[in-house]
Amino acid sequence: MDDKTARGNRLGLLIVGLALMVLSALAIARGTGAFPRTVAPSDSPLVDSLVRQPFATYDPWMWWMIAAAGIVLALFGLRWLFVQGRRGKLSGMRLDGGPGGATEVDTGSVTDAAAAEAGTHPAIINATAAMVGTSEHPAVRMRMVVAEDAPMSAVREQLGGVVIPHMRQALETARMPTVARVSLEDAPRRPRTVV
Amino acid sequence: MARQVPDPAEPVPGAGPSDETTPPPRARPAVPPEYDTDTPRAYGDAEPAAPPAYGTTEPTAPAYGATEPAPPMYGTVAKDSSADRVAIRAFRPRRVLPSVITAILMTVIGLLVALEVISALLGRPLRLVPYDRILAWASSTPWSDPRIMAVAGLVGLLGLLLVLLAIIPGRPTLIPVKTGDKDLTIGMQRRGFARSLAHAAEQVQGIEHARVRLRGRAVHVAADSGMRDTRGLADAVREAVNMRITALSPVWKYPVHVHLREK
Repeated sequence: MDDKTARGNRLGLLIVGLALMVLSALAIARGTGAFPRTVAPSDSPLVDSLVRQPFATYDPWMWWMIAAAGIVLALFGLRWLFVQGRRGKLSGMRLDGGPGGATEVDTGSVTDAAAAEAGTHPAIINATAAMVGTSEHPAVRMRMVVAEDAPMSAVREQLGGVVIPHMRQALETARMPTVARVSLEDAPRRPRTVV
Repeated sequence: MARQVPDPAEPVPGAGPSDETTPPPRARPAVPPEYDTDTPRAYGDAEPAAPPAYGTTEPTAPAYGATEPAPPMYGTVAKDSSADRVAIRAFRPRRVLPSVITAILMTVIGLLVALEVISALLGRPLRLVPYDRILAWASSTPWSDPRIMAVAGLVGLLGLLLVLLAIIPGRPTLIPVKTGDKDLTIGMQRRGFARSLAHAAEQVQGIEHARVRLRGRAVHVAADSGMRDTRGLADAVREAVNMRITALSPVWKYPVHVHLREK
């Protein structure tokens, strides 16, 4: 899942939450008689003549509006659901190929090579990589299994000093933001250190 | 598959005078890497064949001879840099569950309203919801009814919960690692981190078994010792764990508490 989805989730929850709070506050205010009696008395029923009147005046259209509002709400809900699965995976990248036009590169071969190269470091037991983002702003997501007694500086140097520069070179990009998720695994035991 | 194989004769910008080419079409063997590893490194003249001796718990001093001023400087990582903030943000929980529940409810309610209204307008009401009874009830129940107040209160609390879920950042799912580089974000799993610290404690002579719990941002080490004389042992454990923490270089400081159980 990408950052856009995370931001969207927060925004969606905020909007729905605020809407519910406002509705609840209005209902409580009405029920406790906080509004002037002449406008909104607390002892009138939920559905009174003021509510019925517009439905009678604009007979079918009021209902069509409500149906449309329902459809819009459902569409927002569906869209919100579908973006949860969004990975933003980038399978092909367009490189500027000079006068000959653009070159389409399969990112799978590049990420495979990057994962393999990361794995050549003895501290990195296993690595996988995938390209995300757009051709203009590509980014890399990596998952790695790292020996738990290796310093993170080893991983840092292997990625920042070797793997990422090579990817940048291969894909001709100035930046290659990388997010690596590391699980630490017990390496084969070595002799105890005497303290 | 590369849809168009780049011309091998065309030098890659920035690759120097070597005959390096862009990666050839996909070939799946894991090693060796497809890019030419014989070209000069972008990072000093480090030898990839001789990685740092990572077994040492010495956390500093990059083994690579990279002396170029090019960013970032590994090994000497800036404190609380913007890179740290990027890393912390990257592993924030994404509120998938509350979002999915809210989105499903929105969809169901919206569809239900639309279906009922449109079917009634077309003269074939579905009546999935007993709205005649609801209308009768709503026409006779005043706003001040305590049940209305209770429902309104619940809805308000639900709204407050959603707002809190949206604005409280939440604990990152992974422990961010210091990298000093905004474009390189590393996170490690909490479980593996705790286990690694426990193993570090167990490597201290005199410790038979150790268990580590992370409580918030504090490390609690429960260590069993088979020795009679445990003087200085707790300090040794603390030092070993601290060294491992330094090596794993999390963004946050983790104070270490050692509880030594003697036999």
